[in-house]
Parts: sequence; C-alpha cells; structure tokens
Amino acid sequence: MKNALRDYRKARGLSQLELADAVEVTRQSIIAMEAEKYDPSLPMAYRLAAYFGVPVEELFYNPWKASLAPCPETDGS
Amino acid sequence: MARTYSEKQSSRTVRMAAITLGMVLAALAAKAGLRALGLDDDGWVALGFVLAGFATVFVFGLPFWKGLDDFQRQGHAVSVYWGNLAGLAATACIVAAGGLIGSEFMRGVATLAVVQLGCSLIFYAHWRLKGRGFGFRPGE
Repeated sequence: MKNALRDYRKARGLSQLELADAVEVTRQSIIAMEAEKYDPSLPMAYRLAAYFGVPVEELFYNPWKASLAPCPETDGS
Repeated sequence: MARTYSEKQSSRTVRMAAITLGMVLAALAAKAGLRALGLDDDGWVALGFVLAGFATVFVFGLPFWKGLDDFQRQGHAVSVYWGNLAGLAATACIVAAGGLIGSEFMRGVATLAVVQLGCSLIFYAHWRLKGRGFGFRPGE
C-alpha cells in the first residue's frame, strides 16, 4: 500500500528505530511498511497516524477512493 | 529506567535463547553424569528436560508472543506453518528414500504429525470462534 511514512519520518528527523520504539513496533515493520511490502493492521495504521498527528489517509493512501463508487446515501427509513 | 520497545524485545529474545541453551546444557550434563555413574535411565532424564523445556518455553513464550507486533506475528505464523509442512514433506522423503515404512522412526513421525495436526486444528478452531466473537463479547 502506497504511503508517506518515510516522508513523515524524515521530516521529523527520526530514524526507523526511533519511530519503531515510539509507536512500539519492530524496526522490521517500519522497513516493510516504508518499502510498501506490508500493509499495516488498522490499529497499527491509527497508531502511526496519531503519532504524526495526521489522519490515517494522509499517511496511507486509500487506493479505492478514486475507483470505487461510494455507497449511495439513504434517508435512513 | 524506562526501556524502549526494541530493548525489551531484544531482552526477551536473549532470555529465551539463554533458557533454551541452558536447558540443553543441563540435559547434556545430566546425561554425562549418569554415564559417569554407570546408570542407564532409558531416556527418562532427557524426557524430563524436554518437558521442563516446553513448560518454560510456554511460560516465557506467551509474553514474547504478546509483545510482538502484527508484522512479526505474521512472520512467525507463516514460517511455522510452512516450515512445519516442509519439514513433514522432507521427512516423508527421508522415510521413502530410506525404506523406513513400518519402522519405529516412521511411527514416531506419524505420532508427531497427527498430534501436531490435532493441536493446530484446536488452535485454528479457537481462532475462528474468537473471530466470530464467540464467548468473548459480554452479553452474548
């Protein structure tokens, strides 16, 4: 999954290990996510987004947003 | 002193390796001691150490597993699953190549394979039920 993890990490001057320790995951996870070889679980994605203070979709791009038609709204009845 | 996540994980890993090595060395020392005394225990001492070793691994393995993140857990699950299957396949090849069908070795392999499969099915059933929220949501 495409993401901006490396950009956010570098912008804050963090090493992969420092980021990993800050969000309590292994460095291997950070490496795999930055290489876009591993899609994080929802809790892990939220934890990273909370750490950088951004919405999840700014960190992990939603590939379906452009291609998938959204569910039509109903009046709730 | 607050330790980082990576330091805690490294410490757990080193502890696990040290305990495993310690158990193996203790078992070898016990065996050597028995031999020096001219005693034959029919492998009971070794079996005792194996059982104690597994008990220790389960006790220390649980916090280790809980401390792993998703990625690491996935790595362990994938490697154990495919590693075990590949191990059984390689063993089947050894049995076939060595003409060991019906041997004591074959019976040992079959016992291990059946028990491992049974335990895997129990854990898989637990995982499936947990995924459905069975017995894990209050009020249901």
